[in-house]
Amino acid sequence: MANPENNMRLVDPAVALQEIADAVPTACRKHVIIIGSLAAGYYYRDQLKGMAVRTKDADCLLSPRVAALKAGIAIAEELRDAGWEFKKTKGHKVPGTEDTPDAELPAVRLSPPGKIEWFIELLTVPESPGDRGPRWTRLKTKYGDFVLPSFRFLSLANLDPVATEMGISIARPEMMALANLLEHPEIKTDTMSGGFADRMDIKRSNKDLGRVLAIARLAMGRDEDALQSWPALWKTALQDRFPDEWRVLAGRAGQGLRVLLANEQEQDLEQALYTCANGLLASKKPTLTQLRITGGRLLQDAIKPLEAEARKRA
Amino acid sequence: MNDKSKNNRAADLVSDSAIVEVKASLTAARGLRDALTSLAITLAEQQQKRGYLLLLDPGLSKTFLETELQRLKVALRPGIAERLHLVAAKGGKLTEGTHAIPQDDYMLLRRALNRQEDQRTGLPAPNKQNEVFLLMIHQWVTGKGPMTSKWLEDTVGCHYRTVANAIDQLGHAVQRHSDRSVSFKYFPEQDWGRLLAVAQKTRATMLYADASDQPRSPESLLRRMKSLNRKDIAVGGVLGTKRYYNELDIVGTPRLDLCIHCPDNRVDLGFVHMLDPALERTRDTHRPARLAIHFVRRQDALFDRDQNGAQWADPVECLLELYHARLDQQARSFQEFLSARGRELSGKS
Repeated sequence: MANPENNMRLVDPAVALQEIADAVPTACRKHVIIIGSLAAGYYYRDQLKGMAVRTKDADCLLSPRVAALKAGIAIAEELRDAGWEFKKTKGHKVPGTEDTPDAELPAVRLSPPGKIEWFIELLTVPESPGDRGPRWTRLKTKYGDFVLPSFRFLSLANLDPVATEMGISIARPEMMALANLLEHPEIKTDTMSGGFADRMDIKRSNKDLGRVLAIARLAMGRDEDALQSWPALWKTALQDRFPDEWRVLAGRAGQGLRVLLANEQEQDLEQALYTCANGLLASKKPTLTQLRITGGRLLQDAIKPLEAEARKRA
Repeated sequence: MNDKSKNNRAADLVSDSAIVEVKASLTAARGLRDALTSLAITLAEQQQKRGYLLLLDPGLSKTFLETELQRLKVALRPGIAERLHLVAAKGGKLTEGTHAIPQDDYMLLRRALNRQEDQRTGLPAPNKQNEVFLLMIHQWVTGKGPMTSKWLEDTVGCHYRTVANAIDQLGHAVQRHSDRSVSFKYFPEQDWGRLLAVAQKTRATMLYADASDQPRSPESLLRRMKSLNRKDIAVGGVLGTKRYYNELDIVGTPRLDLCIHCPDNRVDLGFVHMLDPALERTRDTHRPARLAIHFVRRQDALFDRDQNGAQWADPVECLLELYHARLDQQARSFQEFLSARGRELSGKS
């Protein structure tokens, strides 16, 4: 069943990034890292061959954490000053007030003036490696109160981001892939709250693990052996971001993907395929078999070597 | 990995986490019970592993199989019963019992299935007289000089009469020496042509195509091949030829040609999946092959190991593989090169 909130539009990653960069206060640009499909689409724009990606949101990670709150307020206010519009959702029709409990505050979601096809959402990194759960930090602006969400594995997305000529950065695709793998050690049953491209049954795990497969496919499109370089990068990243837990995390990085690929009835993999075909891989849609092979290659070239590293004695 | 009885065409595959036992065309309940019990005993001994009985084209109904499995499970300790699985395959595809099993186990089952399929295809018996002929050509083009019948027998792995018949058939091209050794007088074009005419059929080459729409290059496959460090596999085809003949007129490498040494006519093709999960066997000669696997059946493979540890097929094998790949122009050029070198090295130029 279609949902008016989940109309995903074709967005040119370069155009969207430029629009965000132009709108963000100059002093804040260095704190903005774009993550998600726009970042991956921009990084692999040679693979997309000028095609747009289907997306509805541009996730802006504010980093470092110490600067995130100030940057978040400045960006939210400047964008609203420039006419960016508050994105209404089912649960949030208006921004919060100082009386709104933290748990009920909306995130900063703003659409460019006159364009409802996509919006930016502000996020930040966790405070420390031990910060396990999602956290919501209140953001008080002159346009109302919001929250700045942070999730545990977003700390991987701000590792050595790729600078763009627009002054903002994008997350490294392989780090986004690792964050998604770790976020989903199983196929959870919760579905995308706003649906995905006219489908309300898409599980978030399938969407995020599908993103991993899409990134892997784009990476191999550029360099057939690209995935072989990921285990070393992943190991370094995990050691840096989670020094006390990196072995455990590395050891379970492939759990969710294995479940996805082993699903005999293929409903989960079919959902992952749907998100790829209506997202990052819209310009060259793979078949189910091809996506399964991508998963097999990812396991072979990146995940198993990472697991082997985790098993080595310290 | 280890094999069981050849007669019942069953085989075991073992990984760190699972065991696969294979039974083909099972039609009796007793055989099923025996196989399940045998696997349960193995699982009792190997407590960390899951066990799969893979039935190929079983002649028993799905309901019957499920009932028998559940009956046995009731009699087993829970720790064993929960690790015992029954999987069926029909027409070369896994059809029953793979629901919610770990991906690694699924791939192991597929390997077991593919292996069985390959073994069912089987390698036709080699033509030992042709093997003698190829060996004599090899000795001539590499300037190794005359050879005794005994050496030919041992190197090919055949009866002395096979050697004698092969030499007789080569007629005037063969020079017989006073010490009863033999060598070629010249490159036997006519006999070579005769061999080429039947080579496509007799060599049992297996072709693999890409199923991913993102084919890996032969060079990438080769890098992965080297990392497996297999002593029984050598590189042939275009890449192998270039090692002997750097004037080979070709741009790029159309496919990777590998030679597996299998003097007992048995071969484990599980490594193909390790080169690339996207490789699938094809018999469609119009479909571009990314990998060709050839089989060297003589006792001595004559592989050449270089200082980097890479193994290379001998030049005559490489020449045959160029023809197999329909690179006729390049093959003829390499053949002329080898023929000229043979004449030069034998002092008959």
